[in-house]
Amino acid sequence: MSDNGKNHQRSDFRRVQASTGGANAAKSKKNHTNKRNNRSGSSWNRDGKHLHNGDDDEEFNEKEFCIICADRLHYAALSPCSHRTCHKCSFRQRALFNKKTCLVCRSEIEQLIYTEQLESKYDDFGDRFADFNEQYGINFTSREVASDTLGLLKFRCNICVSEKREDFDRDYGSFNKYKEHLRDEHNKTICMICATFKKAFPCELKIYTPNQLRNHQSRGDGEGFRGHPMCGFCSGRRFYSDDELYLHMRDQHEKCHICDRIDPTQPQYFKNYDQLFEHFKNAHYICTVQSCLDDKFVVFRDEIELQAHILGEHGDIIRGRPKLFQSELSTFISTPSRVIREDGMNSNFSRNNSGRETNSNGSPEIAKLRLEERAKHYLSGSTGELEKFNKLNQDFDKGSLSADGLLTDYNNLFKSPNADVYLLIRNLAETYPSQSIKFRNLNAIYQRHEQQELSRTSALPSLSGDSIAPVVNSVWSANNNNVSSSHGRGVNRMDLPSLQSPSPSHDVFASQSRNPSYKSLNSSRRSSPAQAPVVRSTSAASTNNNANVKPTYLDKKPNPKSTKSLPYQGPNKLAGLDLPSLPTPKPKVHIPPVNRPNIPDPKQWGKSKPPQESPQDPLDELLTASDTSSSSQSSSSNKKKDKRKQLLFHIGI
Amino acid sequence: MSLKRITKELNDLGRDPPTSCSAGPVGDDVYHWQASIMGPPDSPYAGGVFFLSIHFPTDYPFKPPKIAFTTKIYHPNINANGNICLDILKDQWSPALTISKVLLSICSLLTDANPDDPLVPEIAHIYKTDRAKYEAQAREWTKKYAV
Repeated sequence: MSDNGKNHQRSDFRRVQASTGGANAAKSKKNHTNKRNNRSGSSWNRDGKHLHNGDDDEEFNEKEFCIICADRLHYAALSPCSHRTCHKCSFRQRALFNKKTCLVCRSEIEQLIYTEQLESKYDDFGDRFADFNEQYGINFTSREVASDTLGLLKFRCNICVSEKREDFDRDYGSFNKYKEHLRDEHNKTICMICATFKKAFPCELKIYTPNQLRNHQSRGDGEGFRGHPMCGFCSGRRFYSDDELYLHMRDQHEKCHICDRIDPTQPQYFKNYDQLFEHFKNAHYICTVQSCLDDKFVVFRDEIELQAHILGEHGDIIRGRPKLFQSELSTFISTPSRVIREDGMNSNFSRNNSGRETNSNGSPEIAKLRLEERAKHYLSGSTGELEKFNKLNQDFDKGSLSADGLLTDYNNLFKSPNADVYLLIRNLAETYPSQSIKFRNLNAIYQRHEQQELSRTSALPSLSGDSIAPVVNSVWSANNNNVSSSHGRGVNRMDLPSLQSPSPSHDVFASQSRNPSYKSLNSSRRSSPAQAPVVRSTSAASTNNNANVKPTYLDKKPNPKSTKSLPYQGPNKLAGLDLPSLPTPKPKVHIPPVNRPNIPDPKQWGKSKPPQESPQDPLDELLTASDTSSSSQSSSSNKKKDKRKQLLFHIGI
Repeated sequence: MSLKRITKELNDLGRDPPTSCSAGPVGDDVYHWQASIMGPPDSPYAGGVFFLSIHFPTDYPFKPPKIAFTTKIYHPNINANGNICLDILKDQWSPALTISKVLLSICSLLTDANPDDPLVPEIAHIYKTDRAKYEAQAREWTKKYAV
């Protein structure tokens, strides 16, 4: 787990590393592209033959290739677990990685067989071998295999070998001696970082001129290699890869754990604790009590955490010298600047590592990619049908196919049971800008489908049927194309109580339609399940704050008073929210805090309300509404009201 | 060494693509791939298309590839940065494993999370104590970020 955590940080070291060589940053970026071109060019030349083999390998027997390095087998390494690799991969694992595990199945293998007979099996050989190496536990079926395998470890000079010099077979014994020979005889060198960490046989190491070596270390030289990263604090010290640099940073330098909590993708490193402490002082909240200073790392993200710490740990100090502490604290509050980078760390933030930012869900590129991947998956990779699919999209793009026509064609094309054409429609919609007509048409189809799905799958017992919901839904989706997904709807419903603010023209007699919703959500008292869907749909429509609300409501309960109040919703949206006809679908607990700020002009209240109906108390308001529910009038409900008020407070508190 | 192996894997992926995932290089850099995984139908990630980035180390296949989700996902073993807690990507890596096999393992990790070795303890806790809540949340994230 912790190991995994280091993955995400590895690219950040580069930034640390780059920060020291700030001057080179721009230059290196420029070279980066050059290098890449060079790399692909040179590697294709160098490996051209192999790559060609790789392309042709369909014609060859798969058995002729090592499954690890994909190279042609020269000698086979056979294991008792009947796995076969090439002798180089197997020997690399045993001699350089010092692991005796099988490369394929990870089981511990004491003895292997290296043979030139590629087709043979482990059990084909008895116990008579030409040679045996005890150190690595390898049986060789011929002396040639043994000398070739063990020869991999020799420090022979490649240049001398290729030039067939006199002492070409000389073993220099160590990387250092080999390097000395290269320098003295050929004016060349090897990368000692690679020599130590690459787990490459000496003959596999590239030989560089001093200039090439600098390039290799700072920028990399192909095969996915981007150079050895450098520690920003230890001048000139480079590491084999980000993994090694991470270990070094973790062991030798300090990371700010507070910054790490704020944004784990941007770890902040400091050379030592002194620098880190300066950073703590500037950017975070430290505890200045001497014992905490001595303990180190007693630092907090914000003032509240610091105060909690002070109260918990140093309560006695505060009681003794409150003034002093107070003043020290205030200096922190007045300098809240979050200084992230210390001296020598002013690096290029612009070098963004992961590209996650560009990968947000919303971008049309991602939507397009997602559409393609989805289609490919639904069509199980059939290229012919994929072309048809692309053709349909092009037709739609050109306008020769309507959104509904596209849906029909999609339905014909995607026969697979797990294919969801509506998700395709949605992905396609997202490839267009959200204002465009194409987006709206496609999204309308998706939303309509979503609504149907929702009303069908909704398990609410109070839903009597689909008869009303679809009508409202279509209105809803037509008016609200920008609301893209179903949880948006959920949120809307959550917000409903704010719509139900006590309105000046509020009339308890007019609000009968509230009652079902009140009950359906609380479902404790009188239940009228048949009415519930009506209210629900009204509420859904009313969230749109749209004139379409009116007919739905008025059909249900024609009421002269509420009609009178309609002008309120005209020009001002907020006034519209105060419609008395709006339902109160929320549990009581939420209502008091939500309603209070919405109390309208008291003058208006006086006009339409009897004085004994206290406008200040929304709970009363709600209760009155509920009391009038079943045709019982408010005049008769004063007693009940008191009783219920008590009950309510029990629940609320 | 690594280039040839990566090229071979790419050819194999093209010839015999695995069901429910795909992968290929980003641009002309063979060492940096993008992959996609379809949310398994029997999981709360159903219907989602999840993207991942793959970086091959130069020592591949002796060292494991670095794989991370670039699509946000609600899962006990995948954190907010997309890092995946999966043993075969760390100490249980075997050079014989391929990207295709690793992607299938990630698929099965989506179906069966491993809350006993969590990367995000909060999600693991919900997973263990209130499975329905976990599934609802995972579905919501899928709908929000991966559909």
